[in-house]
Amino acid sequence: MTMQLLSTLNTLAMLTPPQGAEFAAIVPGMIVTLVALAFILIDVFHRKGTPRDYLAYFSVIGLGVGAASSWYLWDGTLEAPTFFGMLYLDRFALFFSALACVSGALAILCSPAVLRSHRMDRGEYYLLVLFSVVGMIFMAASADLLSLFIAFEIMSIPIYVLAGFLREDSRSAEASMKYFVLGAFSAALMLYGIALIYGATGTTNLEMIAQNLYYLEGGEGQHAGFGLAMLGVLLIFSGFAFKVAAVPFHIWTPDVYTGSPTPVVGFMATAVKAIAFAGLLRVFVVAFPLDVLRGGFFGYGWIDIAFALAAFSMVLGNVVALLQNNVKRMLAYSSIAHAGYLLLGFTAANAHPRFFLHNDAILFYLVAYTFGTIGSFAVLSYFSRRGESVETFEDLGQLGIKYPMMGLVMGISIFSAAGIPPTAGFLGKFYIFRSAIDVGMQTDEFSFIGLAILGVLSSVAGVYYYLKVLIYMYMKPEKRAFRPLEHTGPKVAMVVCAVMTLYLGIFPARAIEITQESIIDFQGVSSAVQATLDLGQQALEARQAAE
Amino acid sequence: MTPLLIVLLPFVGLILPIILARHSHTAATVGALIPTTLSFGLLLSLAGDVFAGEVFVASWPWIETLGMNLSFRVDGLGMLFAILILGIGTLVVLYAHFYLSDSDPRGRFFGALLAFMGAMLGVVLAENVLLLAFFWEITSLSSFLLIAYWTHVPLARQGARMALAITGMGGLLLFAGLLLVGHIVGSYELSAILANGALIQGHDLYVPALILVLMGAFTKSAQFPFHFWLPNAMTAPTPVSAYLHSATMVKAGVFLLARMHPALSGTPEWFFIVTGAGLVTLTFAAYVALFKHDLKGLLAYSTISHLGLITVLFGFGTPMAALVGVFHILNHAAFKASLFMSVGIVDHETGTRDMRILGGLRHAMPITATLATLGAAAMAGIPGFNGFISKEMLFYESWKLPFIENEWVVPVIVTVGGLLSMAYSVRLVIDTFFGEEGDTPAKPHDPPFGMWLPVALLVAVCVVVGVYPSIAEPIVNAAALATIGGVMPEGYEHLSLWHGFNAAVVMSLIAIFGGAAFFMLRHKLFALAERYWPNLHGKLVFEGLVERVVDATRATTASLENGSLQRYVMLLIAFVVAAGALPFFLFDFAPGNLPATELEPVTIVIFGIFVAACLGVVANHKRRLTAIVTLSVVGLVVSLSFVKFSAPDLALTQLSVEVVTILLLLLALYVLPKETPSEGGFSLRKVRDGILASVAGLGTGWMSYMVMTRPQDSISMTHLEKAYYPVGGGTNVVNVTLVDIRGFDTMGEVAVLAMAGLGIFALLARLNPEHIHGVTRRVLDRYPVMLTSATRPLLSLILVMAVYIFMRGHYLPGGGFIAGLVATVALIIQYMASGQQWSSERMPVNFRIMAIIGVTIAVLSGATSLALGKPMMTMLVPLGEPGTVMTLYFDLGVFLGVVGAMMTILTSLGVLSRPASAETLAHSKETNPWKP
Repeated sequence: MTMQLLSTLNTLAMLTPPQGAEFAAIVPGMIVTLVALAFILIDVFHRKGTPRDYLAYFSVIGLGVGAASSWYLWDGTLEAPTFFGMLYLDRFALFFSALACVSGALAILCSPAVLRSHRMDRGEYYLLVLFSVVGMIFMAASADLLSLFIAFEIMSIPIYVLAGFLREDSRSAEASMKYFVLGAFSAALMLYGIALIYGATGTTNLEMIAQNLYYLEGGEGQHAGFGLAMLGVLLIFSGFAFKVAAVPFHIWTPDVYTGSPTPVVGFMATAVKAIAFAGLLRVFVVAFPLDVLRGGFFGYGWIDIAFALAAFSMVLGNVVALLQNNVKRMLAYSSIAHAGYLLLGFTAANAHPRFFLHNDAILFYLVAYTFGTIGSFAVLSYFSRRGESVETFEDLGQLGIKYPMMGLVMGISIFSAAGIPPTAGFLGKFYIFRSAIDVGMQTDEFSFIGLAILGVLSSVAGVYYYLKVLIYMYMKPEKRAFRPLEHTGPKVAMVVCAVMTLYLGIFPARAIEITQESIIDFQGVSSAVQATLDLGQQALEARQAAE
Repeated sequence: MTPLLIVLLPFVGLILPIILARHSHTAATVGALIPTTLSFGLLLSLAGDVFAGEVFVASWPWIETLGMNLSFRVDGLGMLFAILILGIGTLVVLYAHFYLSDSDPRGRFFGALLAFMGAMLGVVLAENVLLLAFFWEITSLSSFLLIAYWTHVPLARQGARMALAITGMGGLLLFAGLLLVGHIVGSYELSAILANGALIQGHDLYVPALILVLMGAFTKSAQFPFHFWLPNAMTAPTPVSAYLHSATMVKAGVFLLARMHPALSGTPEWFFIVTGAGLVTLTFAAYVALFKHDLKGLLAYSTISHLGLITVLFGFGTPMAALVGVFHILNHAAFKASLFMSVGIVDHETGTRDMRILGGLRHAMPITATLATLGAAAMAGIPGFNGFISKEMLFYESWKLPFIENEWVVPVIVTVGGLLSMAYSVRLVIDTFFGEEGDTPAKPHDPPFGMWLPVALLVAVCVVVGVYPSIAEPIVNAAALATIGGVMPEGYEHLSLWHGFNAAVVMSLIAIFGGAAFFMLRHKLFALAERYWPNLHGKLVFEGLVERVVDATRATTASLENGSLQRYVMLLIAFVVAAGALPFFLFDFAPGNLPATELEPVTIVIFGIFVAACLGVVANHKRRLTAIVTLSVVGLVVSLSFVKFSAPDLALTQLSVEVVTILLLLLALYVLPKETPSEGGFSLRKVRDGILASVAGLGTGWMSYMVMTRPQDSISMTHLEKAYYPVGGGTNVVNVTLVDIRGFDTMGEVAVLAMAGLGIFALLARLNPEHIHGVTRRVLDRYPVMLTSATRPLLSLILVMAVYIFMRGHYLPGGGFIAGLVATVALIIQYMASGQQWSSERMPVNFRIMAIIGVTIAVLSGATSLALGKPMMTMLVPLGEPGTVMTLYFDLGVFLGVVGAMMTILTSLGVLSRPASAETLAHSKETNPWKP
């Protein structure tokens, strides 16, 4: 079987028009797109000089419907990719669709008062968030490098604009500029990688890339295209690493987090990271099977790179976060560390096909991380009045006592981020470390255990700097009085985040089940992974039958 | 259900004191007492059965997939600790009621105390080790709140944070260790783990797991070298110190040693690590305690020392030693809590804890003095007190050790420890209650009954156990049984005061008299210490370490993240270069074996232009206009190279896109300064960037060369033969893809383009260049004659060309999209050359409408197939050559859409280039550097 034949198959597959059932694959994305289009219409008729809060609520409801549609489609997933091999409709994609919608909705809830206070109460803001969510939804579902890249850009470009939305604030403009230039650069690298992969394998379809790589490896010795493919893999990896903010692609993070509007930071710290992980998983698991692309320090191919990135991110993120005086900057570095933990889970779960089910740890961690992080950014949004926003630790002085609710939510979020029970963050960390140790024990590769211990150790530093927030909020004297931005939106977001963080920390059973279902329904994998998935399916059914 | 209730009651009940604290102080205390006593009552209801040897295990599923169950275990060991936690807890609540001043918020205090209590109960009663680790972290946290209770004291915050950092770190390591242990055994339930000691000890991961678990224990129990957090945590209110730092939290570490004793002990690793750490802590801390002038400091180090003693006992790994260890836990809790409370009373009444100021308090505070003296006697190990018995048993056990050659080493060290313990106990009593009366800040007197009652109760325990040790037997035996794992040690019958005259008695005598002598010499020792005491405190080391780390990371951060975009991009490119180098090294650098094609002169010339243009861009990058023009040359050469490689279609697209992009860039220049600000002359950064760029460029070039010299299967013929011609009816793959196979996409794209055009029009409709910061209108300048006269004939030529490209699109390079771009170029050149006004007067076309019409045509032609009962966008219409007609209509739609949208965008932006009117110019300053 040659590559040409595969290309032909690819071509023929493209010629089959989409079946009616396939349209389900675009339902969540279409809902959000339609909301965004309706938004444009409504915004046109907006009466000048009145607040745009209702538009925010409209977007939130639309995103809620989008998330609900994922739930509705949960039992109707398809095995084959839809739309000429462009999109998957599986629970994995639906899970991330819902996560992106929720994250977008929470970020939007925090926004109206902040925008008004900065005299930037514009409809475009919500529109950009909505479009970014559209990109995210399609990215999680992509079955082809092209659809993936387009979704990737639809997701990214609105975020670049959002980062600079407070354009009178020079820091916001700087953040946007830096993010855009570096983001465009990394996207270009990724595109170059995609081109190289296409050059080497003759296709952009993820599943076919995998097949052709086997051909390249096996055929006439080591084909020239193999080296190209390897470089392509590295470049694509770097594109994802940039979005998840893993060391050494993290450099934009602190500047952008500090300068961007606070609710936007909450959005990009959570949703973008989560979706980038979804894309990373999909592309690397489906298209680049590890038994083809070996090599690297431990001989695991790209897993080794993820391994190194995980180690560096955890250590650097946590240690540098210790030094920060600015709360948002601290959160930026800590988000780098979180990327490290996630990469740790990624490394462990994908080193061998038989551990694929451990990927549920990543999914759970992302959910926990989303609620925890948006919770803290919601509190910060509440205090980001123009010209007197809470920025440094000292600004936090006594806020917890003056505003008990904000203090409580911040406390819960911070506990979750630091991985302290009984919050979701604790379980997330535990879940990830456990899976790394599990893999290490079963493969006798103690490097995984070593990495897990490194993660545990570096999270100690995390405890230290996160608690600084609480110490300042409750124990340090007040340096300056801050007037909060009285608004219901952030409060609702805060309550949701805090309740979910506690709920997931105390009653995680259902959430874990959902993450497992998402992983088990992951489509496009090789037969080795599929065998693991089938086992997982049986175990899950057995457990559900027992209940 | 009972174990769960015991643990949960304090958590649930913590709301009570918080609410009741609003009413009165007493109400808060009562509120705190209710859950405590209820929980205590429940515990005691199980006590009888537990002492009889029964083990209660109860389990509720919680997170089954993670192996984390809410399972609890009440055995002898857990019972002993639970009694300590709840019993001393009750006394501490009572004591705190009198101790706290009126301004201290009581709700918070009791709330945190109850949370801590519940967490401790969770630790000691957990059956699931993950649950244990879970509660372990909560104890660290709640103790943080308690230590930092006096938030206005900076030292309290520091101490609390240090305590949390150390114990929290230990807790996380413990977590990792327990995960390993659980993995080895295959279950996280203690019953399974304790039953599989041999399995664990034989596993490869035994040592890492052991070290991780021990890190947890040592940090919590303040064992050397992690001991320094405990003295610094003494900034806490005294009830907290009495509770956490003598009776409960610090005991969690030794509890863990006892808990894991059956599973982990008995190996040389265990013996040397645990005993070693314990011995060092025992003597070192006792020595330091002697030199502390602060009463609480003395007690803190004495606590560390006694914890070291217990650690030593568990380290021995023998059943009897473990029994003694359990016994000493009980004894130490009793006398140390009583002493902390006594010291608290002294502090409370006199306002100081400095032994150099205090003295002769026995007259003013006879009750306190008596109680404290009795407690200190127990701590010193005087016969007749509980401390004596356990210490004597330790001395006895120290001779019967496994794994060790010089059998006298350990006995000597523990005797020295006992000696020092005696010395500081004596010092505590004498310097505080005897001697001359000191000049204290406040006039001392005995405290109210409620405050000394808890002390008295604890001292009573010390004395009673010291005289009738068998009274503690049920609880000690039950706990020891759990620690040892089943069978009581051989030769053990009862706890008794007198074991006959043996080596241990001699050691005790040496310790007591030696200690007394040591005390007599204390003033000389102090003088010596003043001079020679190495100024090395754990706290300083810790802070030094933190500072070192901070400095190092600050340096790293500064070198990586200086806020400069150049730096960031450099890092990204450096990564790409590294990544790109990897495959070269893994495979080879050699080119393939295809023969090189002949080098034509044209190629050389074009290549020369290309290189020159690239260098020109770099050299001129500050002059923006020049740079953009040079850049366009690069683009043109790239499209020529597409022609060279037989991709005419691609070349056309590239060419058109290139022109349009350059035009857009030129328009954007209107709102930008003419030149990029100078960044200074020669710099190392430029050299670095130059090298990096050259490496990246050469690497990419070499890679392309390697690819081109290897055989490559072209896919275009396959597409053409197998699919495109039969299905799409055209021979231009790109065009067939655009208008037929992916026609749906194209339709969407054209619609998006049209929308973008309309959007930009709407955005820029009211654009007034004068309102843009930094832009001034230009003087009306004559349009260059050459350009104007050249573009007029070009218009018709290019338009004809566009039509030609459009018409042949289905079979040869071309098509609606490219034709649209070409036509756009033709039109926009008129705008450039003759001005907007001139052009729009002669071209009264509404491009917005044109774009809409284009989209409509595209949609309609796509939809005609619906009428024939086929899916939308089926372009097959049976008319001779398949597909031609309908695709032509569709392509026309694309063409119009592209032209309309692009023209809308460009003319909207072109507003910027409109010359200013005369009156505007009159107001503008002539010194404007922008004047062309």
